[in-house]
Amino acid sequence: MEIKESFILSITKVFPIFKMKPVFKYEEESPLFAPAGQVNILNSFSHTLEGNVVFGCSRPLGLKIASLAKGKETGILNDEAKRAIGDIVTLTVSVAISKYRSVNTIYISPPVFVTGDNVSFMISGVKTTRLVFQLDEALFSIVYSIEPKEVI
Amino acid sequence: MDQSKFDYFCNCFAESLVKMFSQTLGTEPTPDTQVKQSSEKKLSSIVGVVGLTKGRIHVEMTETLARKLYESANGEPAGDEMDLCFYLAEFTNMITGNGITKLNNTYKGSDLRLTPPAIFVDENLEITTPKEQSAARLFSTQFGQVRIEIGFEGV
Repeated sequence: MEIKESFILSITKVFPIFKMKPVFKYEEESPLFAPAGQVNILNSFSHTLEGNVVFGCSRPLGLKIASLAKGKETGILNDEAKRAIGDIVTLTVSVAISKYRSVNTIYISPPVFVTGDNVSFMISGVKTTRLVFQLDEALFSIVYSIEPKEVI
Repeated sequence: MDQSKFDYFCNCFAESLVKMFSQTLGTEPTPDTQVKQSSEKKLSSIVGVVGLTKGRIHVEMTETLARKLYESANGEPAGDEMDLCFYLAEFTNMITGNGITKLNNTYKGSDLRLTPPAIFVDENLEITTPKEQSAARLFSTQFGQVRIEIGFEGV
């Protein structure tokens, strides 16, 4: 399965577990240095697959995802809320990677939260792809750059 | 991971940062305790660590300091922010690469590996890893401050 299809499938399978039904909208090649969301979750890989994946959304959507994941309303992005979003995103990314490559072990680093009002980012010096999804009235994106790597 | 091992991890990366800064700028950054508030843009480079244990290294500095590093290393001023990001990614690879080599030599079988760096830029970046215990070291240079934060699971 191609990596793009893996992410789309993973998102449409994992998010409904938490009562969310995102819809894939479009794909684009992202500039290497590009604007990011107000809430960003970075997952990184090494070993047989190497690269970065960033989930990005607005602060209100981040709060909504945290509330649905926790099963109760949350008004602030505290550690508990971040953990809830981080778990969903890491699960989504792990499922996508396992569908993309049948690997026994995924060497994925813990999710890192990056928040700000005017964030820009660069996750790779080569091609970076952005997948945009709609959740209710809001958009979120998965930006990735993943390359297979020969392991010695 | 017990506290003394975690402290050793932190020291390895902090020493590597001091070494790389000294080599590039020609002066050694000095330990600092007080973050100087500034409205200046910050550049943050994040590198993940995977293997027997998981974590991440986060190096943050002001744009002025990043530009000075670039100029010292390349002999000419940086162009746009993308130039700076490319350089910072390379610079962070060197810092974390030195640190991880030392750790792998000390703790044989750890098989620690680094992920590619990701660079984030903003005036008010907030970077956290909710599942990790982390420790930060702050250093001052004549061109601004640099902070390295080391976080690992299970400390």
